Parts: sequence; structure tokens; C-alpha cells
Amino acid sequence: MHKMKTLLWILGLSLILLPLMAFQEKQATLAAQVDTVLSNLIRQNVANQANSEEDPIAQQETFVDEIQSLIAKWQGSSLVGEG
Amino acid sequence: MDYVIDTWYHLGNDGKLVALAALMKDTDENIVQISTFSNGLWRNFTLGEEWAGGADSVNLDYGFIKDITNSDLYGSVVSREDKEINGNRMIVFSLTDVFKQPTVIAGYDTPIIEGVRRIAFEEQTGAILFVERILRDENGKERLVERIEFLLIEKLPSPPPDILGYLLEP
Repeated sequence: MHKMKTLLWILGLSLILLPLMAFQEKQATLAAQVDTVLSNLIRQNVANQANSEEDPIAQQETFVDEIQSLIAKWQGSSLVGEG
Repeated sequence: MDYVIDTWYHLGNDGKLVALAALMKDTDENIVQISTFSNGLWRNFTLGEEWAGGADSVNLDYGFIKDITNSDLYGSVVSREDKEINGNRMIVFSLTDVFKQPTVIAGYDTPIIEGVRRIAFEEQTGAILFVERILRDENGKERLVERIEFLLIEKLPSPPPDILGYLLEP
């Protein structure tokens, strides 16, 4: 009878503790996931910043602007013999 | 073969070509070819050919602005570098087309991996210095295909009589 009581206590405690442990595990997993998501977001953000610095369209526009201003400079000042 | 082309442009107020005369000479100043455009007619006096046609605006950028703008379409890589050659500081823009695989091209002993077009401007004045096309082989060696160096660009009230003569020839 004593053994039976002890067994029931253990069973009862297990039933209470198991969900708690599962809850704790779940919390830990969620926290890890949040960490991963956050670090991915940070990584993505850094990558986006790097990409925006080398945005090919922006780069093309910069080069085109520079060529146009070089030609304008030359047309404005360097043509010789103008009559 | 090296040659010098003396080209005279008569431009309208809108920058479009009204008339043109081009004299191609060898390095000994011998005329190799003469061609003109006026009144909507292109003529090659050397070959005795003529054909009707229009003329676009004269592009002082040698088409680079258009090619840079369309570089995404063609997969060209655009780059820019500052250079100093013989004390002359210049800005060089490049358009690089990387081949999908090394390609054997007649006349070259090593497979070619990319083609590069460059245009160079003098930093101080903005004057165009040269336009060139090269092929780069898989050893990284550059092979010059064509290079146009601008010897003189000037604006004058009228061309010399011989040039006018070609333009007025019936």
C-alpha cells in the first residue's frame, strides 16, 4: 500500500512537472527562434545596406551624370578656334 | 593598320548633323578614302557609291551613355577608375562583357573570356582622350582590337576650301 502511494505521488508529480518542463523547453526553443530571426534580420539589414551602396542602377546613373558633366565641361571651356 | 580620319561636322542648332566630310588618311598623309553627307545623301567618293539616309545627333560620348544605361539588359559590368598616364590624369569608364565560357576566336591562340570597351576623359578639361575595345584571354592578357585616339577637336567658323569642295560636288 505504501509502495502504491509512493508510485501515485511520483506519477502525479510527473504529470505536473512534465508539462512545466515541456513549457520551459518550448520557451527556450521560442527564445532561440527569436534570436535566430533577429540575427537573420540584422544580417539581412547589413546585406541590404551593402547592396544599396553598390546598387547597379544608382551606379549607372552616377557614371552617366559624370560623363555628361565631363562632356559639358569640355564643350564649355576647351573648344578652341571658335569663330 | 593605323590611319587618321579628319572629320568635319556641320551641326544645326539642335546638335543634329547637317553635313559631314570625312577624309581617311594613312600615316603618310595619303588619302585612303573620302566620304560625305549632305542634303540627305551619303557619298563615298573612293568607292563611287551613294545612298539616301538620315543622320542622328553627333554623340560625343561614343554611345557609352546609352550602353551604360542599357548595361543591365546586356549583362555588361560597368566600372570607373582614375588613372594617370605620362602625368595626364584621366577618368576611364569600362563596360565589360563576360563570356559564358572561354571562347576560341580566330586569330587568338588563347581562349577569350571577356570583351571590354573603354572611354577615357581628361580629368582637368573633360576632353575625350580615347575609345578602345579589347579582348581579355583566360591568362588575363589584354588583346587590343581597336583604339581611337582623339588628336584634335576644334570648332571653326567654316571648313577649309577643299572640304567645302567635296560637300558642294554635284
